[in-house]
This record gives sequence, structure tokens and C-alpha cells, in this order.
Amino acid sequence: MLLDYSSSFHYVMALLPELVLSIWGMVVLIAGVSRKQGAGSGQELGWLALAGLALAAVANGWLYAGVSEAGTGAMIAVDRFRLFANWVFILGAALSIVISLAYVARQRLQAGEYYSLILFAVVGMMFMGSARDLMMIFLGLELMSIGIYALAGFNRRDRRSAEAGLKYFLLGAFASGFLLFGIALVYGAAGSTNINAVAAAVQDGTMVAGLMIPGVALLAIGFAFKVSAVPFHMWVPDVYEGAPTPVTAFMAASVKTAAFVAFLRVFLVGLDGLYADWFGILWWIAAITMIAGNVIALVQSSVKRMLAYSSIAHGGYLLVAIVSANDTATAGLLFYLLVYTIMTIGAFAVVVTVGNQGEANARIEDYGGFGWRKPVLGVLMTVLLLSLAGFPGTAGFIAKYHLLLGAAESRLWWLIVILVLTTVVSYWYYLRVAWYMWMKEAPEGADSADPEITPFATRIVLVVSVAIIILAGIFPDAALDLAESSAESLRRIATEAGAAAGP
Amino acid sequence: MYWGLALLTALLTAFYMTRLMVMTFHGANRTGKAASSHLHEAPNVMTVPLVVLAGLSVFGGWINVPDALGESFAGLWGALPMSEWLHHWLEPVTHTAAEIQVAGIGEAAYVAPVGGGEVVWALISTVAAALIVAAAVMVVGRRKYVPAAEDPGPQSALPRFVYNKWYFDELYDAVVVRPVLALSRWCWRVIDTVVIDGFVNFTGNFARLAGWGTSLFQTGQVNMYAFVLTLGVLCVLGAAVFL
Amino acid sequence: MTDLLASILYEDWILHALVWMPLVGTVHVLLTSADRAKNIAFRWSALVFVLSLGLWWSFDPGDGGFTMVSTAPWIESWGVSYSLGIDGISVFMVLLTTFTSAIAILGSFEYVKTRRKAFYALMLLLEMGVVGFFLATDIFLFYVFFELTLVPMYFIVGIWGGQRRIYAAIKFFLYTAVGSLLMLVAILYVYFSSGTGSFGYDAFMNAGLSLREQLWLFAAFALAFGIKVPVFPLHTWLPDAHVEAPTPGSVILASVLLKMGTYGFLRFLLPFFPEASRHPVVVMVMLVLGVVGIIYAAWVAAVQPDGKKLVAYTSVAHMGFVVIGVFALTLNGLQGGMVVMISHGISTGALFLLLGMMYERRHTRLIEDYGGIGRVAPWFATAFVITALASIGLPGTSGFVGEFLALLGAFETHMVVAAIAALGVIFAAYYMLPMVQRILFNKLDKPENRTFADLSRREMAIMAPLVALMIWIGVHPTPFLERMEPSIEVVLERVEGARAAVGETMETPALADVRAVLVDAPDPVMTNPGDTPAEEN
Repeated sequence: MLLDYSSSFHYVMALLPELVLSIWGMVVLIAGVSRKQGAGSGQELGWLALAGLALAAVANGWLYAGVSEAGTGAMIAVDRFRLFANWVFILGAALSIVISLAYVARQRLQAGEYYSLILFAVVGMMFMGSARDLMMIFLGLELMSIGIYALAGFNRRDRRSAEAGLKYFLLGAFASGFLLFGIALVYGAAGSTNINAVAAAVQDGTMVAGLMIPGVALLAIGFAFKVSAVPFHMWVPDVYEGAPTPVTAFMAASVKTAAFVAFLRVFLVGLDGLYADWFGILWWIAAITMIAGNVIALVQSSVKRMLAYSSIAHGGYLLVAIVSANDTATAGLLFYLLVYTIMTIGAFAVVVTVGNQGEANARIEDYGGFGWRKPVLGVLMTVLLLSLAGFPGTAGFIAKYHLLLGAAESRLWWLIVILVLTTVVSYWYYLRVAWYMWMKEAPEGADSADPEITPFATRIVLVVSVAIIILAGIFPDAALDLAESSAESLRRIATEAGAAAGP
Repeated sequence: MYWGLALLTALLTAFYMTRLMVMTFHGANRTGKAASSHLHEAPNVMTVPLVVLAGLSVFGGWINVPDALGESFAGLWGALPMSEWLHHWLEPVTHTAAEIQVAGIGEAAYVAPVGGGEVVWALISTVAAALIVAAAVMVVGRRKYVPAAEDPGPQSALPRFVYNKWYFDELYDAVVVRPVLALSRWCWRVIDTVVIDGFVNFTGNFARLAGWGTSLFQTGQVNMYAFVLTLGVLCVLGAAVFL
Repeated sequence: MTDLLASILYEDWILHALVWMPLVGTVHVLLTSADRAKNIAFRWSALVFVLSLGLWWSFDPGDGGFTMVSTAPWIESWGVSYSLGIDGISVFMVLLTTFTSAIAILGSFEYVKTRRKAFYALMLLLEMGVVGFFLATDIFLFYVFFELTLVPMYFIVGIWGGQRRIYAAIKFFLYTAVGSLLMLVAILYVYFSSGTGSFGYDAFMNAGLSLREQLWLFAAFALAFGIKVPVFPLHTWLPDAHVEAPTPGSVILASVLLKMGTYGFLRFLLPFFPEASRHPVVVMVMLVLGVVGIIYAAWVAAVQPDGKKLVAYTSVAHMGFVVIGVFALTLNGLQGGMVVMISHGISTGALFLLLGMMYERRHTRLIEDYGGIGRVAPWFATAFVITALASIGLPGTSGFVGEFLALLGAFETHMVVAAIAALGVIFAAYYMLPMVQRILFNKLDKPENRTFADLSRREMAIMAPLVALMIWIGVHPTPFLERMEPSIEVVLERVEGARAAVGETMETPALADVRAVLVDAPDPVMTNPGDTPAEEN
């Protein structure tokens, strides 16, 4: 069914995935509240939330099949770029929920609130991915962030979790202020918050340049905070380490994805005409992020913290795609986000399991000899680490290669050299986990600390993730085509909008 | 010239081999009383290979009979199938070398200086060798020998110089072996371990040091984080506005 | 034989079988019990070797190009294809790989006692990566296989290695990764320059690169392969990796993995960047590095107390001969380089196996702990001496053929370089013979050595084919030389063809010329952040 927008019903249909999830989030919340206190483990609520995500995925697929644009003036884009991103959000949330099931039960967290917050955060992410208006982006960002602030501090009995939530909230609010200020300046310069209108104003020179340039800089800062680029990354290690591990996985994967999708749309569609102005800033931020993220990750002794810094480094690689600013790089960014979501959450799934569905065994020494005691988990983790490192044979390599291809198309050779050299640095800390797992002996009393349970659902998720990682590493064609057509749709519609708004 | 030198060395060989034989088997016993009682015939494990080797040394020359002699008695009057076999076995490897050599010093190197060709030269060397053998038997056989243990060795300068192998071993030891060994140790201990590996390990350690240094900012204090964030904001804004 | 092979359509499936059968073997090993793992792994590797032997008859060098080529699209949107082919250069590398893999697995039966399933699975995986590397004619595919070999080797060294195994493993890994990732950047550059949107070998040959681009790209490729070879001064990972690796790991590392670097020189470096490759300054730099490697490594080898480390350094020296042979840019030189590669694979692999046998018996690698072994283990001593002599390059052994040809090739174009390199042959005796003497001869003064067991039947079965090969190649190298000659001619013509393009200006080389070309000219290659971006959107 093609949307024709002659009836307002079709406008509602264009928001179907968001609507489904909003309603489902409330359902989960009500189901959680109506449970008897302390009855059961709350896992059924997790499954309920998963069902909602599945529904949203179906709705998203339906839209993908019959995608048609709602007009350039609309606040919401209906393009494959958005819908592809939606799938990544849904996938990230679903994987996070699966690895939360046993964790939430064991840590006695409030299951109803926990799962509904995840769903609401996903709705926020979807709005960020679809927004064609700076105000919509801000709304989506806040909807997402508020859910995540609460989730980061969700374990009230754990001081570090509470600290993480508060830290993230304080600094996040600070950064949101910059973003909002940037939006205000851009509005002042272009006379509109609609991205296409901003693009048109830039193109035909009706903007007020004196307001526009600081506005762009502040927007870049706001997004850089959310994608945890250096030097706006200081919150990341503490928050990632303190938050419950499944939440950390969700943050590392999905929050970053949402921020990047919005980042890309604003800068490549709205501010494309100012490429020469923001190119240098983002170039340096990307370079510094790659270097600092990887270098600091070298000295981390906690696996969770190491993964936090590695996610900063991955943010740096993804920034290269934005700096490259071409279709190949955009497709690369989408593909990378998809792969990154799978492998990051997979790695955190192992951390959750080794941590005994809690926060135990987080030091790297605790992984000593782990591979030989739990060979299947060990092999899965090794593949995930190699994929994170971007090693051939895994999807991580294809994704990183795609980014390089995009950057090479824009001839950013120095940035490429930095990317590959920092990748070498990253080999060291990823392989360090592997060498502890396979080449070291177990620490004292390791057997008693080993995971007592590896929930069935987690096992399935891990095996499927790794299977996808390897399969997409060897036969990436289908996923690449999907990403490429999604990226093209962004460019084509943006061009049409520019052509429509131009004369 | 080359041929003359070749002849001379061949004659020297004939001399010392004859001397060796005469002194070992025909002269007075020099090993002393105690050791002479232990002398006995060699066991089979030694004799059999020796017999084979002796046989080969008599007939082995046939596997490389020069073309020119192929039709004479030396080549069994042409019955020997493989002429100059040894000349060719490395040819796939060395033929270019031969070409370079030919280009460098010309074909002349293969031609005998005195006419008569290879048959004559073979005869000359055989006759000369026979003469030397005879002379050696005469000279060596006539000298008197004391047991080796009591032999003071050569007394005059030249024989002593020759007896000690011209002191070449000592010369090599001082001029070549020791310096090269010292240099080798230096290469290993200094260049390999300190310079190259030092650089390699330094890059690794430097990266970790940088990581450690940067992570010092990670104090856990929110105001510190906000401070860094603000610095970043100022940098970006400054770059955007003023550059 | 040829008819038999043709009747089973050998040429159609053999290359794919050689790449993928080890992978099947890997899975099979993982599914069996630990006790049966070694036999199953050996059977798979032996099967692969026997199958690959057919190449000896079936392979026809033809005009020197790739034969038995089969191509299938792989990642279509990037122009990547799954494309395998073989020519007179790779055929020997493949045979060497399948042969030494089987030998190394057989040689590990007593050495590896723990975690056997994982070990043999990794060995077969490694074999797959290496064979794939030698057969790939698509640059992307080649890169994937190139990197893939790192992981199994990393774990083989890191898990079954000696005291400093982790340091050695990670050093090996990172060293190689630095080079290969920079090479990836260069590959991307050529890919975009060629404009064909294809990663095929021919597309890369015809990328139409300027001399300046070629020099940069040459540097990136040469770094990657030079680390792998290893060329002095990039060699320090090698002694560590060799010393720490378990015997079969050392064998594969020396016999096959190092050849990936020199093979890369022949297969990719020279044909892709012919003008850079024959640039006089480049040639001189490579030749000097080769000569320094030969002499330096020989000296350092001579003072090593550890037998394994000694042999590791000899690898550096031998590979120096390959570098000299290759950059002599003559038929003799390139052929010599190839033969040194083969010969070194056999003789050094055999030396590591013998050292491994010594270690199994006495649990020490120090040369001074041995002495007089020849008296108690005559067969062992025989094999050791023949192998050592082949390694030195005694005429009549494989080592002589290769080194002589390489020196000869160098002599034709660079007389002084060849003369100095020839000293390396003397120094080979200087490091090798004292070791032989101290291990096999001298006094049998250590009581532990009196019970030193001679070669077992399994060990005989390992050493016999190796020794036979050393002598066969030494006495009758023609079948090897004639098979590789057409392909080497193709490489040479490619490089020589560039002579006209480089022109007369290069007749008097000076470092300043290269500097001018690389640095001083305005630079369209690198876009700096401050510059106007190349592509407006």
C-alpha cells in the first residue's frame, strides 16, 4: 500500500512504528504496575516488550515496502534512511532486552518500568532518526535521553549506578543546552527549523552567516556529546561502567546510532552547503576521537570500561563517514551501525554472563583461562572481539572497509591513515581480552566465580549474533544493498527537496 | 701460466702424498713403545669403505673423462658413455656465469698455452708426477726419525713458519674472527635489542603512557568533566568563528 | 598421469578444493575427540598434499599468465570477486604450503600434548589461509586471506608457545598488522585510481598511476611485505616469534608465512608499480637492505646461544638473498629468489623440526647443553648435517642453486652488491658449522645426552622427504626452473616495459630526485583538513 497523504489517516500510518511502540510501552508499564509486588521474575514483561518490538518491526517493514515521501515540508521524513535506522534501533533494543531478562530478575529491578523505559527510549530514537525538523530532533533526543538517564541509574541499591545516572543527567542537560542554543541560532539565521528550509536558505544565500556559523558549531557540539566524541566524552567511561550492563550495551549501541543518524541528516542534508565550514571541525574531532579513544582503552583494566572507550573509538570511525559526506560513506555508516549494534551488544552479553547476571568479574584478570573453561562462550567472545577490531572474515571488517571506501572517495587520505593506525592500536586491547581468555591461567577461585547460568535466551542471542557477524563478513551483499538503497533514498529526497525549494 | 701453476700444485700433491705413505707404512715406528702394541688391522667398518674408496679413486676418473680423451685408452676407447659428466651437472644454474666469464676474459681461458692439446698435458702431468713420487721416496726414505713425542719440531725459521701453517690461523683469529665476533655481539645486543626493538617497544609503551596520562583527567568529578567539556566547546566555537 | 588428471576434470576443481578442504578438516577435527585429532588432521593435510601434487603434472606454464582461473562475483557492489588462479610462481608456493603443512602436523605429534583439538584445528585453518593467499587473483580476496593467517598463528604462538609467548604473539600480530593496514590504504588508492570499480588483478595492473603515486604506493606495499619477509630492519618480530612458537608453528612460519612477503614482491609489488620498482634509487635501497640483512643477520645468528634463535636469524639472511634476487630484476635473479624461497622453506623447516626433536628429548634449546650427539644418534646427525649444508648452500644442495642464481642475477646488474652479498655465503658457514660442531660433534660430556634417542620411524618419515628434496633440487633444478620461467618473464617484461616510460631522466639517480618527486611537487594526493574538500556535495 502506498501512502498518498490525501487523508490524515495516512499521516498517522507514516508514524506507525512509533505509535505501536508508544502504546506498547504504556501497556508494559500498566502490566508491570498491576503485577503483585515480588511475584515472579518479571521475565514475562520482557517477553511482552519483545513482542511489541516485533510488531514495530513488522510495521516498519510494511512502511519500507511502500515508502513514499510525505512532502518536503513535513516534520517527519518517510525515507528508507529512517526506516533502516528504525530497524537498527529495534534490533538493538531487542538484543538488550534479551540480555536483560535474567539480569533484571536476579538484580530485583522493577521490571515494568525497566522495559517500558527501553521502549520509550526507542520511540525517542525513532523520532531522532526520522525528524526533518530541528525541534523534532530535540524532542526525540530528550525523550530518549530521559529514558536513558533513568535506566543508567536504575539499580538504586548500587551506588555506582545511581552516580552514573546523575552524572549522565547533569552533563547531558549541559550538552542539550548547547544543542538547543544551536537550534535557536540556526533558526535565527535561516528563519526556519525545518532542515530542508535551512538547506534552501544556505543554498540561496538568504541566511545570516554571522548567526549560522556559531549555530552550526553548537549543533556539532551537541551531537558530539551524544555520540561521545572527544573531548565531549568524559562522562562515557563512568556512566558506562556504573550503569547496569544491559543498559550500557543499549547505550553504547542504540543511543549512539540514534545520535549518528540525526547528526548525519542535519549536517549532510541541512548544512550541506556549509561543508567547507564544518569539515575542518569534524575532521579534527574525528581524528582526536579515534586517537584518544583507542589510546586510553589500552590502559583499562576493567572489560566494561575498555568497551566504553572502544565505543568512543568506534564513534570516531563513524565520524569519518560524516566528514566524507558522500553516498558510499552514508551507506557505510548505516551498515556500520547495524554491525556495530550486533557486535557491541554481543560483547556486552558475554560481559553480563561472565558477570554472573550482575556486576561481578569485571576485571580483565577474571577472564584468565575463561575460554578453556567455557569454550563456546570463549569462541563467541573471540569472534565478537575480532569483529570489533575489524578483522577480515567478520562483518566488522566489511563495515570498517565500507567507511574507508567512503573516505577514499572523498580522498581523505590522512584521516584514513589515522583510522587504520588507530585500528592497529585497538588490536592490542581487543586481543588482550583474547589472550587472557586463552593464554593465561585462571585467577584464584575462578571456578566459583564462573557463570552459574547462561540463560537460554542469551545463548540464542549470542549464537545468532555471531552467526550474523560471520555470515555478513563473508556474504555481505544483501545487507550492503539494503544500506546502499537506504542511503541513496536520503540523498535523492534531499536533492529533490533542494530542487523544489531552490527556485 | 695457469696451466703451469696447476702442474706445480699437482706435483706438490704427489710429493706430500708420497711422503705420507712412506712415513706411515715404510719408515721406522714413531709412535713410541706403549702405543705400538695397540696397532692392529682396522675393523671391517673402516676397511670396507676404504676399499670402495680406493677402487673409486682408481676408476672414478672415468665419470668425467674429457671429450678429447674419450677415444683414447682413458675413455675405454670411446666405450664410456658419459663424457665430461661432471662438467654439466650444475649447468642449469651456472651457464650464465660461464657466459659472463667468457664475455669478460674470452675463450682463451679454455685453450692450453702449449700446443698439443689435452692429451699431451695429461701425459706431461702423469710423467712428472711419477718422477716426483720417485724422488720423494728417495729423499724421505733416507732421513732418520725419532719417535714423534721426542721430536722437537723444526728448528730453523722457515720450516717453523711453514710447520705452524704460516701462522694463518693466528692471523685470521686476530684480524677476522675476533672483530667479527665482537661486532656480531654488538649488532645483536645493541642494534637488534636496544635500537630496533627499543623503538618497537617504545611505540607500544608510548601509546600506553599517553593513554594513562590522558586517563588521569578521568577523575570521576562532574565539575572536572564539565570543565573539559567547556574547553572543547570553546575550541570548537573558536575554530568555527575565527578560522 | 596428465590424461588421468584430465579425465577427472582435475583443473576445474583443484584450486577450490585446496583452499576449502583444510576448512572442512578444521571442522572435522573440532568434532572428534582430542585423542584422534592429530591423526585426522594429518590425514586431511596429507590428502590436500596428495591432491596438490597433481599440479606438478597438470600445471602448464603456457605463456606465463594465470591458468585454471575461475571467477565468481562475491561482493558485487564493490566489484569484488572470488577469483582463483595459478601460475608458475604460485604453483611452487602452493606445493610448498601443502607439503610443509602435512610435515609440520606430522612433526607435532609428540610436541603438542595439550589442547590438541584446538591446535590441529588452527593448523588446518592456517593452511587454508595461506593456500588462499597464494591462489587469490582478486586483491580484496588476497587481502582477506593475508590477514586471516594472522589469527591462527597468533593463537598457535600464544597458547602453545614458551615463556614469553604472549609478548611474541602480540608482537608478531601488531608488526604485521601495521604493514598490512597501510597496504589496505594503498589498495584503496589503486582501486579508485583504476576507475574500473574492480578489485581484479588486471584492473590493478592497468591503474595508470603516475611515478609519484607509484612510489608512495610502492612504499606502502613494500612495508607490508617487507615486514612479512622480513627485511632488515623490520625483522625483530621474527626471532621472538620463532623462539616462542611450538615446533610446528616455527616450521610453518619459516617455510610458508615468510614466503608470503617475498611472493607479494613478485606477484603484486613489481607488476603493480613497475616504474617505481625499477627506479634506480628504489632498487638500490632494496638491494642494500637485502645485503645488510644477509650480513647482519648472519653475524647476529653466529652469536646466539639459543639454537632456535640462531636458525631464526638465518631466515633473515636467506630472505635477504631473495630480496637481492628479486630486485636484481634479471631472469636469473628472480629465478634464484624463487628457488631460495623453496629451498629455504625446506631446509629451514627441516632445521626447526630437528631442533624441535632435540627439545622434545632434552627440553632445552641452548646449544651448549648438547655435544657429541652424533655418537649416540647417527641418523639424527646425518639428517642434521645434510640439512645444515643445504642451508649454507653447499653445491649439490638446494641452497646453492638458489643463492648462486640470485647472486648471479645481481652480478649482472649490480656487481658490487653481488660481491658483498657473496660474503654472506661465507658467513653462512660461520654461523652454521659451529652450531653443527657444538651439537653433533665435540665431546659427549653431558651425561643426559648419552640417552639421546635416535630418530624414530615417524621422524624418519618426516626427514626423508625433506632431505630428498634438498638434494633433488640441488642436483636437478631444471624442472623447477622451467616451470617458473614463463611467469617470471611476464613479471620482468612488465617491469622492463616501464623502462621506456621512466625514460632517460632516471639515468643518473639521486636521492634529491626522489625527494623532489615525493615531497616538493604540489600534492593532489593528500587532502588536508584546511584545504577545500575535493568533492562538493
